[in-house]
Parts: sequence; C-alpha cells; structure tokens
Amino acid sequence: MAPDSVQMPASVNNGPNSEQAYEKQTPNNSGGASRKKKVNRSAKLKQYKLDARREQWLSQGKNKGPAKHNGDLGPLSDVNKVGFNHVESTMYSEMDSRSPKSSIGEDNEGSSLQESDNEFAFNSPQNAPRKEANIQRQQRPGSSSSSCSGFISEDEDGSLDDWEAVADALNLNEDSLKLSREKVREEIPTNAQFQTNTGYSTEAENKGILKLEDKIKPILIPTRAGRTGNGRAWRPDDVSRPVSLPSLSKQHSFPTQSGGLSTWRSTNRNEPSIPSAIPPSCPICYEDLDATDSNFVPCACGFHLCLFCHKRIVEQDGRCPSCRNQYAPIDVGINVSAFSRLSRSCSMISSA
Amino acid sequence: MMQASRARLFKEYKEVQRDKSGDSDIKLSCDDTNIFKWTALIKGPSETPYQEGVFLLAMTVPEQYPLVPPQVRFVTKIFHPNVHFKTGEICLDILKTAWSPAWTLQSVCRAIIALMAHPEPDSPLNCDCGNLLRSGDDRGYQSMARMYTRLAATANKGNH
Repeated sequence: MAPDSVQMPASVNNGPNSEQAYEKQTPNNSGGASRKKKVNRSAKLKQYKLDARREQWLSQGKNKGPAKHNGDLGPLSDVNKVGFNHVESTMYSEMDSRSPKSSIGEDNEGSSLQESDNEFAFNSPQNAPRKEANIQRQQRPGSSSSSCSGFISEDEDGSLDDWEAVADALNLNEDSLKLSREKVREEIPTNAQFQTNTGYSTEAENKGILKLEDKIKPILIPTRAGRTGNGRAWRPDDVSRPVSLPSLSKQHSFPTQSGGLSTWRSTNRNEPSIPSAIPPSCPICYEDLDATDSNFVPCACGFHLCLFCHKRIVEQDGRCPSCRNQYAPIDVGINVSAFSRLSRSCSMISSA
Repeated sequence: MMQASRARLFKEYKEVQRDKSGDSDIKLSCDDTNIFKWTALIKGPSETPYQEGVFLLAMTVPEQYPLVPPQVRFVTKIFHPNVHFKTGEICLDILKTAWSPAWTLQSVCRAIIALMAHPEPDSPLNCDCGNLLRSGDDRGYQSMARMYTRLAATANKGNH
C-alpha cells in the first residue's frame, strides 16, 4: 500500500489524530528504562508537545493551502495503520521532496516540516535534551506576528480533544499560558526557562528553592517579578548590578541558579542570558506590552515599559524606574518593523 | 490617572492572592471596600530583637500610584530608630525620594523588613532609640526593642 494514497483523506483532520498517533508510537520507540523517564517527564513533554504543536499550527496559518496540509500532516495521522518504521520512512521521504533532510540539529527553512519532525522526536526521551535546544532555535526565525495568528487559529479550530489534556497543565497556572503566548509573540530566546516553569514538578521544586533562597538573603528581594522575571538586566547576585535597582522577586523561582536539576535544564543554565529580554507586561502598570511597547526601550539600561507609563513618568520626575537616570528627551524609538507588527497584532485582536 | 492606579492595584491584589502561600513573612491584604487602603502583617526578621513579633502596617495608596510611593506606617508599636514611636511613621528612602514605580506594595514590605534588620541610627525618627545605637549601647537597644516586641507585637502576651 502506498502510504501517499492513504494520507490524502485523513490529512485534513490533523490535530488530535496526529497527537494520539504519537502517543502510541512511544512504546515502540523507547525501552523500559526510558519509559520510566518518560513518566517523570510527562509534564514537560506535554509542554513540549504544546509548543511543537503551536509551531505546527503556526505554519499552517502561514500556508493555508490544502496541499500543504496534506504534506505536513498526512503521514502523521496515518501512523496507526501503517506502523512506525514505515511511517518514519514516509515522513522522511516527504521531507526530502520538500526541503533538505535536516531533521534534528540543523536550522531548517521549511519550519513546518521541522516542527512535525520535532513533535515526533519528543516522544523518545533520549532525544529530548537535544530537541530542546532545537526548539529554542526554531522560535527565533519565525516571524512574530504570524506566530500570533497561528496561535489564535488554534483556538478557533475544533481540535479540542488535545487541548483539554494540555489545558490541564495550563489551567493551574494561567499565567504560564500567557507567558508562552507572549513568548511566541516576542520571540524571547530564553523561553525554555518559561517552559521549565510550567510543569508541575518543576514548579514544586522551584518553590522549595525560592524559600531556601529567601532564608539565605532576607533582604530586599522584592515581589512581583512573577511576570517580569525574564525581563531582568542583571541577575540578583550580579556584581555589576546597580544597588538602586529594585530587585524583582520571582527571578529566584527561575532555575538559573539552582542546583540538582535535570540535565536538560542545566543546558539552559549555561546559556547566555539575553540582557534585556522583553517582559510580557509593563512592570509599572502591569498591562500587557504590545508590539510597539516591546520595541520601546527609552533608557540605556534596557528597562522596558509601556509608552503610556513612560509618558507619565517623563511628565513627572522623568527618571528611569530601573536605573534612576534621567530619561533622555523623548525619542521615537519605533522602527518600521514595529509598525508592521503592530498593524498585524491589531488585526489579530479583531479576529479573535 | 486614578484608573491606572486602580488597575495596577487590582493586579497587585491578584498577584498577592495567587502568591499567598509563597511569602510567609508578609501577609498583604486590601480593604474590602477601598482598594487604596491596604494593611500588611509582617514578621519580624529573625536574629533581630523583633523576631517572633508580628507587626501591622497600614498603607495608604495615593491616586498617582505607582508614580508616587504609598504612605506606610506601623500600627503596631515598635522601638526602632527609623520609626516614629508615637505615629509609626517610617523613615525609609524608598518611601520618599528613592521610590521607583517598579516597586510594589509587596516589595515595600520587604524593604521594611530589611529596615528592621538594618536600622539606620543616623537618620532617626525615634531619637532615644537612635541615641542608644549611636552611643554604642547595642545591648540597651536590643533589650528595649525586644521588650516592645513582646509587649506590642506578640500575640500571646503571657496568656499561654
């Protein structure tokens, strides 16, 4: 039976089917020991799948044509019938026809194919660490606004079966959903840190760490950085960190300085932290930063805030909330790409 | 303007609700009818004369918040060089000139806890206390502060 012919009918209904197909694949893929591992990581894997699937949908959003659907997802929904090895080969042959066969380590232009491949490989725990790096790399090339629309289209589609399962992981911490949403929009390269925080187990770990650290240094490790945690310019223990900078608390819940963590997380730790990662919301008014705001950095210290709050501050004492230096006279630090993003994000809102 | 501060306070409130279990040193709560009136219960930091004490703070948030700092004072009596003994007024730079809009009510509470652990006798609001420390009578300061902590900030005043 030529698998290509089977793909055609099943291909349109891609969401839940492909997911289920993967779950069933797993036992084939991994030995007994790694199956245990998988149980431990199930929460994380869920998150990975979520991300991978987001990318997948995203790419569908980009290429609305039905032919593309067939190409991307047909083989996946077919796994049950055809059997694992066969499918794998089909997948790769599909990929060959479309893009260079660069499955794992390389950056790939045909992002949709790469993603479906990704989700595929996530189910074998052995690949997980490597995959993680891969996914991080992936998110950068994707255009931000289109990834947003991709996410929305996800909501509109009827593939709720998976989403109920995934939502279990997310509902507990609605912020994590928000974070991941923002993350996609803004292409925060360190997003894996957020991912690690969404799993139950890691969350518990982090809380323990948080308490411990609080005891060690009870001084001025303030609040509220829950969301702004990634928006830091300095680590709390950084020597070059200005004393006057209000430290924002939940930085400590991020795994950056904690020991005893699983390997894939420690790879994150070694990653260079991007100096001014964009926080998902304005640290002053806590409103979400839109694309324009995200590109607005009025101070050399890299502190992000929304235009509205910036205006209010400039009208008053005019000092940066972070470094306390006087703001320069208002510059319109908005480039063209920011405008195009803005317009797209507007259209996204109206369609939602 | 007022709308902005209200929105921010509301989000801080939600944040506090969510983190309730996280920060056991600080219990922030908001007046049921007025989101600009807050109270906080803070635990005295350990290895200070204030340990085992629980101190009540009253916070009044101005409409321009977070561009201007909240007004915070101790309701619970405390013997501390930077807290007015009668009014509970707090002398703390971040509540005056060094305020930054990036601070929150929660971080203010943390700053106050830090102040309790590190008194600044050179800018005293409680001159008696400041003089004790400045004259090097640490033992005198410790015992006075501990006494007032027992008297005013401990729940079981010998009842148990």
